[in-house]
Amino acid sequence: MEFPKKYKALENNMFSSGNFTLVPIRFEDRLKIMQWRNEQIDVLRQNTLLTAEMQDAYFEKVVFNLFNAERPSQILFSFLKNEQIVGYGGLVHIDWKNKNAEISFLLDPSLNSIEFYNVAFESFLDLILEPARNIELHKIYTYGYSLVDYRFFPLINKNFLLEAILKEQVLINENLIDVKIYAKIL
Amino acid sequence: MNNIKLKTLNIAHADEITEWKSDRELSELILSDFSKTSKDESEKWISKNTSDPNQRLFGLIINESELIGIGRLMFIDFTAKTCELGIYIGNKNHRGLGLGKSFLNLLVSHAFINLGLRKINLKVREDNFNAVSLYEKLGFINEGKFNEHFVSNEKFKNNNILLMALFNGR
Repeated sequence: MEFPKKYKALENNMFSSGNFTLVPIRFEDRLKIMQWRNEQIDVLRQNTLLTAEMQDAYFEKVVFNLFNAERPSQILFSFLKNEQIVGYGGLVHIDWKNKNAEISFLLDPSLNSIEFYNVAFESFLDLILEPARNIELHKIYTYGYSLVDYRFFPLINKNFLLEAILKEQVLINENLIDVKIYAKIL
Repeated sequence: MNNIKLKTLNIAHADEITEWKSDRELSELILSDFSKTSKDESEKWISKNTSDPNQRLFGLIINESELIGIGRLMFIDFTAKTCELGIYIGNKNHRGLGLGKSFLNLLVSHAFINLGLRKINLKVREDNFNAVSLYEKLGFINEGKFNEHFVSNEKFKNNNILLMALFNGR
């Protein structure tokens, strides 16, 4: 099976700023993504550890179909620095009628220093605006678990506004944690 | 009182569901996607959602058997003990009679007592003043607002959604 390289829903499929680039999610990145998700399962909306078989099936049956859809439910990217994958993310839960979408973002946890996180996430937030505008979204938003404050600084720096704090919303390592929702009107 | 109760929805209720899903005004009010729906599609929707282990889908029943609306507890997280609540009275003849409050109390009780949940979330249009007022009277608090989050009459401005929540025992 040849995995697609372009989303039909996008006019452009590659977005670059400085050393960082967004490209349509690549099949060859799937196992690294699986590993990163499993290592950070506590902070993701994921209940079980992924296996290679599960990840293969997800890419072949779900992700594959996103590329040719006129209005995909999500548009996922591999996030590269100097052409090497360092994370992934995209527009998810796309509401085409109301023109909004959630943005998701996950970094390779081995690169997760505060300094790199800030630079990388801010670059991602700049880059994701382009496909968002390409599909004429009015608004993008993101959910974050309120575990450490620094993880929200890039959102604030990029003029995302805090729209909601869901108190004691999730259970992580037996602690009830707030969820913060930041959003940006495009 | 009209002998009200919650009853798990089944495909015998497909006619009413079809009518309500095809009601554009109602769909916009409850922030649901509007589409002309067939009975067959309604039956599939009922089957799918009643077999979802993380959802409870109820008909709002009066006088033993008359279905007048829908109550849902969705995205139930049994670990964090939360859910999202949705409710509407589809039968226009039964709106404005205080039945919404009664059914809401039944749903909340089911969530907190039968399911042992800790927190109920919901979303409501900011301009649905009757619903917002009802939720506030029942103790729901405002946790935030999605600004310009839906389109109505081709506009986004002031089309905001309130996020409200009720904690068990608070």
